[in-house]
Amino acid sequence: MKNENNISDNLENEAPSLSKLKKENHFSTPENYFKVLPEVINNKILENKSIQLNFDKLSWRVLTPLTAVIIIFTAITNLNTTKEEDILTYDQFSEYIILQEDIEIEDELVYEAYAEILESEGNLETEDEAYINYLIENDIDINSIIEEL
Amino acid sequence: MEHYSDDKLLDMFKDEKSQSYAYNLIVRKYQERLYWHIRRMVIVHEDTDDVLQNTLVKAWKGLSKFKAESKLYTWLYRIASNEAITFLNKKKKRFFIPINDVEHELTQNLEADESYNGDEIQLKLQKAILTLPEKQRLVFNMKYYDEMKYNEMAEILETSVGALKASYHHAVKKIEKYLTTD
Repeated sequence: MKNENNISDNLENEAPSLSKLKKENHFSTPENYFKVLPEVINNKILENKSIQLNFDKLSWRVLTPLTAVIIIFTAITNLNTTKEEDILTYDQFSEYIILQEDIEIEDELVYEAYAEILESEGNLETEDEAYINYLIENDIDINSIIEEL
Repeated sequence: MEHYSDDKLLDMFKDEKSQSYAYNLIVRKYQERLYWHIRRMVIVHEDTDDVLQNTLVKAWKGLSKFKAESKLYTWLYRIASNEAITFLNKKKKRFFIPINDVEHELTQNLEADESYNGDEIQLKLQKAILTLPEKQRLVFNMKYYDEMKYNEMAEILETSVGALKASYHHAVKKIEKYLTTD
């Protein structure tokens, strides 16, 4: 009561117009609102409990095994899939081989590899044409080779 | 209805057999005070009903963890205040409304509210209260209407008593100025 009087005294000094107003509640609620509300809240709580229970059951029976299956499937898929960036391009591989001084490659293999590249690029004459051109360029008589054989 | 103390109600709530009954009694005990506290903030009954239901469901969820370091009703008031502020903030975000326009909208709701039956000066007081920033409005309502002690308000709003006194003083000055100007 003393506290209330203090508030009123202060209000009279600080805000005379406000202190003259009655502290009345002019809002109203629909009829029986406060009679019904506890029941509404009770139903909401039961609903919440039921959702929680169903979720708990669901999580044990379905979600946990389902998550395990998804994890295993994802792991297997990732293991079997080689990423594109992991594959060396032909040029990168060739460069690697050339730079390795320890690796010796037979000339024939180099020729075949070179021929394959040219062929894939569509620039190569047929194998026979290549031999003939080689013989002509180096001025080799084909008959002399046949005789030697 | 039997009136139990808060301690008794909390003891009953801890027992699973009487939990629902105890919470029902808690709702009956505090529903009106919480309703009017929220209604003064959000004005419209339907919005108040939504906020109050959220408050009471949240309180039920948290009550098992409630430590009796504070009073039950200050704890409930804190949840209600937070819910009311959250509701108003959501409203601003949802409709991209500037802060001042929310207060303007609340004033319009007040004028259109058929369940409000105050006379002209009372309506002017409500409009004056709506010009205050949300937290200052909370402070004014708790002190002026609910006649709460500053230390209780400090517990609810998690602010110092000094800050609350200053806030209430500013609010009263603003309202007085609004009431005395045409």
